[in-house]
Amino acid sequence: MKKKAWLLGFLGAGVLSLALAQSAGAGFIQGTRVRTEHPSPFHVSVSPDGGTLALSNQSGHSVTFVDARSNKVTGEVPVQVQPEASVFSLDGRTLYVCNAESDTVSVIDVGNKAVVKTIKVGDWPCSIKLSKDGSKAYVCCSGSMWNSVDIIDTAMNSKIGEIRTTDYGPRDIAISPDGKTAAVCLDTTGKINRGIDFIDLATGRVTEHRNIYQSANLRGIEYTPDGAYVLVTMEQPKNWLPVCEAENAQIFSNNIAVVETKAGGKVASMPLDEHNNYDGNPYGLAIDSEGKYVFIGIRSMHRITVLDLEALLAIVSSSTQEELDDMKNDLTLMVDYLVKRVNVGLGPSSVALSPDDKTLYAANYFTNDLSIIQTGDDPQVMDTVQTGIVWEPLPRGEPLTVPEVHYRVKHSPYKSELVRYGQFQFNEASWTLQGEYSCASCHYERGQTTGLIWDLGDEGWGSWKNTKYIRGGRYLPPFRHEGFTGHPDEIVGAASSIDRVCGRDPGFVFRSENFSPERLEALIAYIRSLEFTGSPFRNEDGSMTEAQKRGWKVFSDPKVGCIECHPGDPKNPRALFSDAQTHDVGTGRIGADGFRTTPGAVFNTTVLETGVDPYGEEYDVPIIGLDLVKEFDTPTLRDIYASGTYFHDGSAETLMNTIDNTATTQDMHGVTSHLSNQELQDLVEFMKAL
Amino acid sequence: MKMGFLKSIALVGVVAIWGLFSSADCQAQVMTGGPKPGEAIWADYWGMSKQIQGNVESVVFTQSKPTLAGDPYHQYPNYVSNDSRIVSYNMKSRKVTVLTKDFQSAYDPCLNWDCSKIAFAGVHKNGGGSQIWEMNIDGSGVRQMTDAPGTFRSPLYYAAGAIEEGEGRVISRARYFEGDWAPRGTVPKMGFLMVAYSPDGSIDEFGRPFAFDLYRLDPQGGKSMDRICGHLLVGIDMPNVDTVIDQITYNVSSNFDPTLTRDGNILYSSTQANGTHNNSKGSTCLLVNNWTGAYPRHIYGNEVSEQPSTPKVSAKEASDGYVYYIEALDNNSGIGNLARVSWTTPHAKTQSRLSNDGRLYRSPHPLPDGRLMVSSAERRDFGLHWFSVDNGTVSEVVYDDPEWNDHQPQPVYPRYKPRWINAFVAGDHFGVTTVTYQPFDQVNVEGYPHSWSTTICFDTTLTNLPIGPYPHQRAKVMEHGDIKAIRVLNAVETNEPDASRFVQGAGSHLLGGDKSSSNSGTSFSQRRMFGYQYVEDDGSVVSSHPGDEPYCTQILDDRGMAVQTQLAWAYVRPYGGRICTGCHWGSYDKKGYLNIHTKALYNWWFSDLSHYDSPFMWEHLRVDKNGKYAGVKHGDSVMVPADVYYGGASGTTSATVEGLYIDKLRTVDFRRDIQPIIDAKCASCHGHTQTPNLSGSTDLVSVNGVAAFSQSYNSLLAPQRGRDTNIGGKYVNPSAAINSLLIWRLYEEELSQFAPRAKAIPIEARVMHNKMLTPEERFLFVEWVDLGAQWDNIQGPDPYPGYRGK
Repeated sequence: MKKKAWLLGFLGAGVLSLALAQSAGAGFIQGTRVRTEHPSPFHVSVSPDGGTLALSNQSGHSVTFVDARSNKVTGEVPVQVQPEASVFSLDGRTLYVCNAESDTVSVIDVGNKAVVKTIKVGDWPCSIKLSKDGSKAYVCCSGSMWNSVDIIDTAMNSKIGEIRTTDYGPRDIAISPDGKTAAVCLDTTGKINRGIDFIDLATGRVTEHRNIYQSANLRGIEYTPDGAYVLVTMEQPKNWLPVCEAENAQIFSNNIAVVETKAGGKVASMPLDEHNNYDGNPYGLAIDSEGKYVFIGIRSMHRITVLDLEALLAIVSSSTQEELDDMKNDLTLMVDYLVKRVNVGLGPSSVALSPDDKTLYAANYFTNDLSIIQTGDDPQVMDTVQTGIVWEPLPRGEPLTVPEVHYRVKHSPYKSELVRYGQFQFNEASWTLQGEYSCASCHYERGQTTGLIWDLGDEGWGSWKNTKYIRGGRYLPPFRHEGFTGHPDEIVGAASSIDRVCGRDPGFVFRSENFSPERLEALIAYIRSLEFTGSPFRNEDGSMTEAQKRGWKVFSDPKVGCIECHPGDPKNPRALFSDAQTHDVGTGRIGADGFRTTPGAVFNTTVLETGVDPYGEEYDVPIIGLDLVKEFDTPTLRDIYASGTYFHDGSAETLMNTIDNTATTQDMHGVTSHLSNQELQDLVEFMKAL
Repeated sequence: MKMGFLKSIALVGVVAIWGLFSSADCQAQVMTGGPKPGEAIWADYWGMSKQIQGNVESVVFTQSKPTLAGDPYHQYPNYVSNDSRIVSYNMKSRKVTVLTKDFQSAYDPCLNWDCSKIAFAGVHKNGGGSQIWEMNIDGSGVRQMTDAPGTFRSPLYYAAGAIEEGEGRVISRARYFEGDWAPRGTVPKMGFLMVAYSPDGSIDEFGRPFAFDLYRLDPQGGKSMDRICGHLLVGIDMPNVDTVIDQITYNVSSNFDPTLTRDGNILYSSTQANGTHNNSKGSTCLLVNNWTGAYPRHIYGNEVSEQPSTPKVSAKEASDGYVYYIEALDNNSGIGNLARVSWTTPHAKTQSRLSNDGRLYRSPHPLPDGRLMVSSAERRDFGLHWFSVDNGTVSEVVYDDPEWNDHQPQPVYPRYKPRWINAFVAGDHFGVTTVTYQPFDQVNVEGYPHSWSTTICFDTTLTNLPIGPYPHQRAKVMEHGDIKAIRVLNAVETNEPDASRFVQGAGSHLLGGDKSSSNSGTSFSQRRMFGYQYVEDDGSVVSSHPGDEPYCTQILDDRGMAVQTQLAWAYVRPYGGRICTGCHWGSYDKKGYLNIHTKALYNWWFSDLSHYDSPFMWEHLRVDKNGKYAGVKHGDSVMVPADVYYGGASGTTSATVEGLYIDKLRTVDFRRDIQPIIDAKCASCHGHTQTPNLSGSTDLVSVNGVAAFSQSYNSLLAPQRGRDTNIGGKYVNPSAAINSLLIWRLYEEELSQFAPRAKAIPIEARVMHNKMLTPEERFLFVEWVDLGAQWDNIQGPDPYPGYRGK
């Protein structure tokens, strides 16, 4: 492995050629540079004739082909870094694979099992679907500050255009049955009301944006066969409630949004949770061609939930929007449309149906296998095809107390097996209370952040904190916004921060027994191994654009002062842009008499003047604050484009809000009031380049 | 040995370790003997249980003789006779062995994980009351676990902590956030037992001479200096055994029949008797909680739609996703019909009665493999049977001795330990706070003198309770801004060594009926107030009050009258926090909580001195020239007049902060507070010729030969003729001053939508009462009725008149 090719947090994630010698199936654990032999199948697609399956191996950096009739692996084709989705051409001879970290699409000749072309696309392509006539492939580029669906001409195998979505983070796309419209779910970091763009494919224009209120972690989208609805897997965060308890979906609920496709139609977030049994982290979904069932991969509870689609749609069609808004919190509703929950392997992120609807395939990420399920009224797992190394999670072990773990945690971030166990734990809901959510629910399965604020209660209730971006976290302890973790050692700092990062021990927030030391060690190893993603906004060769250079000038201007607390050279790939100190930047929401003497002071008067209700739950970030301290730890600016919302309490919704004095006391977070609009824009562009 | 906090000594945290291991080797190990991936996820309790069950060849169970009059253990919702015994029956060899030969009576067996031990309750032949014991599976090695006055029942092994043999290492550091961790010795490893315990002298809200709560028993024992285990296990010290117990539920009536759920919760039956729910009969429903008692919540059986009229007892969760339980025919025996409700969705639509054969059922035990063992009788003789759900009746007999009632089966098979649920509660003493509540670990944080807890209501006006004429239901429709404050009541758990002080039924002629006693015409439990707390105009309120106390909340209108009263006694463990979205959102409604953003959270704060005053409270307080509080102003109306606003600015919390401890909390006592006003201002007109007769203040009126209450109390607590006397009376509706004719009179205004069916006197002929009392006096009447219209709200003996024995 050529070390120089893997600069820590490599910049310009453009064309990263995988000409490096690596065996098929050997790649990196997602988000890290830790080598692994585990392929980790993230996605499964079925050829149009039903004869071939393609598994995109996120850690294996390859595609595994399986013959659907014999259930045997027929080959593996290396692609680029982190393939997350694929789609067959209409004739089944070509497979298009999105490489999420390389920002490319690999074109594979299925017959020859070889990559024939690699197409550059936008940031973090994670979903690809074919138009109805097969002439185009649509690629969702789901980067945190990216909003394009790239269009590939399948005849020329080249990118021919882009569709601009109305917000960042287009995660998945579905093509309507008549081929005229597409629906894209937008999983925008930091938003509490995410939504769907309906796109007219002929013009490439968004015709309507539909909000799904109180939503996060939108993962998959599909049309019903009659085109009247789209279904979206999602979670409903309860982030305005203090994290006091977990039962009764007080932290997250897991839902499937049923959205009428007609303009201005109803939006129903139907529960996937039962009162004492939650479907933590619903992911991919599939609907059979007759509209009888919907199959949902519940990634963190390791099962496929099968719903009676007709019963589900009957409830939606016969209820008013007001009734549906009430229903989204009804944990007894599922009994009326649940067919069965089928246990499969660990981490089923993606499901796909055979063309005759009789078979459902589920790709199991952690166990490296494919579950083959016979559909019908009583779905059953018929077979499991091993497509990689057999893997089992660490045993439960004897849960130990925090002090014991602190005493015994070792520094071992690069032991591959340990990191993978930790990755599993991160994406695992069944150890939270009744499977309600996982670390990934807040910190994103990409190890970044979903950008929501939470009141963890560790300084008393009433103080919301921004979910930390954890990629590259190990470079800059301490972890907490207030700048302390209780131990100077960074690794035990990480342990301490896990035990304090969610207020108390992980066991407290998740209402579960504590980890055994092995499990905690694995989780720390994974988190320590996460590397920066790198900015997609520079030039291809990694140099800065003109706007970014201008922004760098402003940034490094001593009069403005950014560089004082955020020192670094953008040409240095190791620069962290943080002095690792705490500073008062005018964001501490405390009053004149000191600590916590400001009852509900509104600080973002700009937003208030626009008429936003300061206590309304539809606005994503707080404009009333309550803090323990005034000084906060300076975060790194690496990957800052992906870690929105900003400041310790998420009160700056965008990068611009961090420097335009709306969320801070005037000129305390950089002296910026004298800057022109252009200079502010350039500064933002520069920040995006880090 | 001194109890209390230890500031300067490096404290010892006890940590249980399951052997030492070298990390390098164990990372790659696969689960030994485990199921395939997909079954092996950590939540799969029942999958693992099935894996390890194996063949079931024997069963341990209880044999009891039929009821005898005067049987002291008769009065418990899961009856056992006082000559019961625990036996073991081998189904292959058909051999029966009596295990508890040294016991006068033994019952409530519970097998531990590997079936090597049995925990049970019993009375030793040497006496000593119903205590908890442990013995080996063959009956040898009997060990006494408790030794306290009162009745212990229903031990349950709990998985928290390493239930292993051997030694655990002690590791600690002085302060939670600082210092080095270091080993400090070893301790033997043991797990916890949950038990139901009723202290001597307990009386529940129905006058029954027991009131069980759940306790956690730490058989490792030791006092705080020797062995610190999270919360300082204060509570009851056992003089002769080395065990400490901690009370984890605080119900005024009984919590009993604890069992485990797949996710580490403890499922139990709970008698909810507050208010006038279910025509004052209350209900016995199913709750769950975690092992620290921090998260009680409702599962099934307290809502009208959940058939509240039958007590739900002897519940056990099963591998098929159901909770099997008994719909009891009465409140004592634990006998009735077999029923089940879904565990994942406990709701009327998943509930069904299973037995349709006219037989009697008790103590179901579902096995992991799906079979169901149950005790059943056609008429009187209970025997162990398998039950066929499909046929709705018993199938084969397991064992049936015609001379004994065979019940409480514990089939012998290895049990999989469910996980346990972390919580966050504090010690009872100032200066000691456990930040993380874990077994075998002590973490002390200095400077946090908390013994109280926080409750957050996000919207006091959000409720799904019906509006109706009953005092516990909303009297008027309330919008945001209509609710000005809350009043938090505290029930005194009745503990009365001298039973003659609470003569049952002394007030049976009054509206409390059966629930009256010589202590009160309405209910056995005495009440007092934690105080008042301001509600924001969006309906939200944050409040703090002492933990480990039964409380209920009333939402108040602008006159300080309760518009709605919480039905059940809730409690929070110290330093714990509970939130609710509104009344009956969440557990009861089976809904997920709403994502509401509230003002109360921003307007409430605490400083390091733990002074939980709200700045808003200070802003709205008025102080007179003597520095006395003149009232709390909201808008233009003054509510809660000054001298009744006890304890300080923020009411609920200052009372505790300023050193006024729990026993000094304020209450309104009829004899001390109301009677003098009546004597001075009412009795002159309201005598023999003007109803109600409020004259003859200190003379106690005999009813059926029992002298109990004064004439005025008798008169005011008169039941409403022609209506259920247990809901509300002619003049007062307990817990609803707003619905009480007496209060209407004092305001000369119909305060609620629902008029008692009294003949209205025309205005011209009316004597206006609304200026006869001072505002403060009148508010005392409001508080008295809202508290429950008790006769005696002062704990213990007191100089006020009242019948206390012949």
